[in-house]
Amino acid sequence: MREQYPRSIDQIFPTTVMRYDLNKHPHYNRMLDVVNKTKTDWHAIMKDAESTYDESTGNRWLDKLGLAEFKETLQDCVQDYCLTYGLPELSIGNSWMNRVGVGGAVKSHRHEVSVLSGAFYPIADKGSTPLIFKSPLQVYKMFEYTAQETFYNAAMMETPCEQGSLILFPSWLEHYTEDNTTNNRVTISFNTNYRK
Amino acid sequence: MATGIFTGAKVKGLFPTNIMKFKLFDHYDHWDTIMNLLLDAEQTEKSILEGPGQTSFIEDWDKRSFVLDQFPDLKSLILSCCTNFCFVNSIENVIIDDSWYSIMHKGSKVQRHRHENSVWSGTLYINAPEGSHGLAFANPTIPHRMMERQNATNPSTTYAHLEEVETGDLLLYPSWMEHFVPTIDCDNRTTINFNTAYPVYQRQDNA
Repeated sequence: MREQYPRSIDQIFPTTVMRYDLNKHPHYNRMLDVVNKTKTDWHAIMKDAESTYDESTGNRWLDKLGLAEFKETLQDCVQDYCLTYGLPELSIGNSWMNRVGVGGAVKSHRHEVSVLSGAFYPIADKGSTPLIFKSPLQVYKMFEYTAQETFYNAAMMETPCEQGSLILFPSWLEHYTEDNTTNNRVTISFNTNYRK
Repeated sequence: MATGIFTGAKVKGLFPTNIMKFKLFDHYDHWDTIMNLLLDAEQTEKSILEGPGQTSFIEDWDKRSFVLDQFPDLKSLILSCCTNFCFVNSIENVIIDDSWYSIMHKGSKVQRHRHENSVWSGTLYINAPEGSHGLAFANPTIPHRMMERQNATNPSTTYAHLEEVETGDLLLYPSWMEHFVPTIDCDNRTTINFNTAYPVYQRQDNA
């Protein structure tokens, strides 16, 4: 029986992820200058890769001189997500930059004490390793055998890493990357919190 | 928007949960007959059913109810829908395992619960008068959302999704998904509920 009886399918409780194309931003090159001058260092969450993230500092990469307009656009995207998702207004809080080359990866993590998080790729060689989200439902599914993986039963979903793209996702959604295969994969990441 | 740089954001709803509703009213002729039989059927102690009503559900694994075995045509109809559900969701085929009826009257409700040791579960509405409600499913992502100020109107963040039904509707849903019946406002809301299993796990004496 495939279509014998009238039926409907409700896809309930999805996790909202939004993607923006910022390639045509008028201040893209200025932002790239700052990226290229930024010094990164070892961090525990990175495998064979580096980050500006430092637990002893405020991590305010997006507040560097010359990035105000770009940060304002990221803030607009955050507000757009809030309107779509039904959240109160959020402000970008801490922000940092990751630099990953061949063989580098980001270990699985989530962003505690943040509502919404963002990953923007100012530089990403074609074929850079995607961002992978883990299903928050997997913990419940101890009684299911899947015949084949589909969008509806996947334990993980990946979103491509494309230069100029911004991805916004709930901070609680666990994510990671596999080993990268390109020379240049740079991410600007940020967290948010309520404006009031 | 202050800068208006971006347009046409792509929105993706990841990791949704599928629930399916089959409209079987016109595909079966004995809804009233079954309801009358169930009104006189054997009852067990009500557990999660609160208020006026009756059920054949029993907690004891060895004494479980198999009420659908009394209605082979109906069971066959349901099984074909289960097969379709498995196909759509790309999971291995299941068989119907235990099944029980519930009859609820005005002011009754069913506590929040899930169906352990089952793959998919189903509820068939033998009689669903106005005011009977279907099932309310609890949002399984809520435990993750401690940083979010909830917005009950958004499908991603709402606490529960209420699926309304009519007589002859069959709801199929993952057994792990917690659900409940809000207080109803009618009499004789009658359902047959069931669990499913992979054939290798089916109870030997229910072959």
